[in-house]
Amino acid sequence: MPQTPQPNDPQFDDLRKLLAMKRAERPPRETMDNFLGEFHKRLADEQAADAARRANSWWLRLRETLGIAPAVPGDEAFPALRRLLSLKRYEHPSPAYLDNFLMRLNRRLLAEQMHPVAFGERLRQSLTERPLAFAQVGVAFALTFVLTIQSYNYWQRRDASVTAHAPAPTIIAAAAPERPVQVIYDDARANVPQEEATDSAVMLVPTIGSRPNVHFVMDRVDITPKVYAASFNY
Amino acid sequence: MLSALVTSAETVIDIPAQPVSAVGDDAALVERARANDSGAFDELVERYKQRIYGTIYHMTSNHEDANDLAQETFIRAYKNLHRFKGDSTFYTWIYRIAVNTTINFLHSRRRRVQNHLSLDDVDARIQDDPDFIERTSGAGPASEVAANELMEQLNTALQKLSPDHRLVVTLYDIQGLSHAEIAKITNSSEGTVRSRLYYARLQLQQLLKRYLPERG
Repeated sequence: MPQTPQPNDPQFDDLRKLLAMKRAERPPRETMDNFLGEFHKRLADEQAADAARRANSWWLRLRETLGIAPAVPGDEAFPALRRLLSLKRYEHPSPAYLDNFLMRLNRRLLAEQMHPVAFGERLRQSLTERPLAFAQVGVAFALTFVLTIQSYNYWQRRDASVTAHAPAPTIIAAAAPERPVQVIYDDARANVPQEEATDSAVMLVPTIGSRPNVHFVMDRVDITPKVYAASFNY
Repeated sequence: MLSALVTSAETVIDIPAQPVSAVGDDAALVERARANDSGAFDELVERYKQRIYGTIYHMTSNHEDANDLAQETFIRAYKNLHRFKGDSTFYTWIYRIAVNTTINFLHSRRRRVQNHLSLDDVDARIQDDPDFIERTSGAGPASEVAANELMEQLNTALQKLSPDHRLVVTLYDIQGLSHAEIAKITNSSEGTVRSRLYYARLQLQQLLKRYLPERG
């Protein structure tokens, strides 16, 4: 029958030596005692930091601002915390602490009425209290100013461009006086009989713009025009 | 024990922040104050100084700042009394001034110096509160120290919240105002108030873990 191996058997010498070395590497006992406490403290700190990050995320703040805050559990989720916070009601100043409140308030009101705060001082106070709001207003003004200047320059350039690239005849024609119309006749067809002339021979001489006296070259003329062109004598 | 705790919590939390009869009185006092009756405004100050001071104190955790800001609140109210249209109650209006004044102050203080906390007096009756006994392992000679330590921890945890989150916790869990009243005071929706309250409590639950039961 084989014998059961014992921990002190020689074949375990190497293992025993290794374990002894490992034991020597252990940290002092108090460090291990505090380890759990430190671990819980750091864990709680990190969880609180995570909760703060979630609570202050820009996405949540945006939804709150827009009035579409997510549905959240109510009071029933925090009974113990609510009872703990309710203990704060025991923390208040002694009754005598606010006895002179009204007197001090009236004195301060009187002093402010006698020596009103200057505009500059009020502005300085506002800047101290709400620098971010002032910075936002400042940036908004600066952006508005830059946009105004830019749009003014753009329209200036655009107007100049339109003037430069405008079709000259249109502009000139608009201001031009009555122009004569010159009809060029095809001499080769001058002898065409009158019967061959059709309605299609009615020719409209184009005019520019909306001139009131439009010129027509009517049918039933002695010679049928083959080609025509308009030329303007300025 | 549990029922006692629940009763205690309900007693604390369900106290109406504003007696209904006081609303009508306020309107009359405001009318008189507008007609340059200084006694009427003094009456309003006496009526609300404790609550306004308390709210500001829980927001700042500092005596001097709370006193100064409470005075500032009433001065602003006095100067702007002609602008009070009566659309809301005077109570909501003065709270809104206090809250805006305090939040502006907190924003400027955050940039200036590190906050200095100063503890208000802790009422001796706390030692008989079952919630306090449960969390500090019973009353005794050391209970006063334990009460001060607990208050310091609560204040420190509250100061770690953003001003918006601290405000809703102060007004709802400590001052006992309703969601609707807080929404009016902060000029936001009830959904926003509930959301801020939830996320503020999540943070506080982590910060005050050692005072809370494992499954609380």
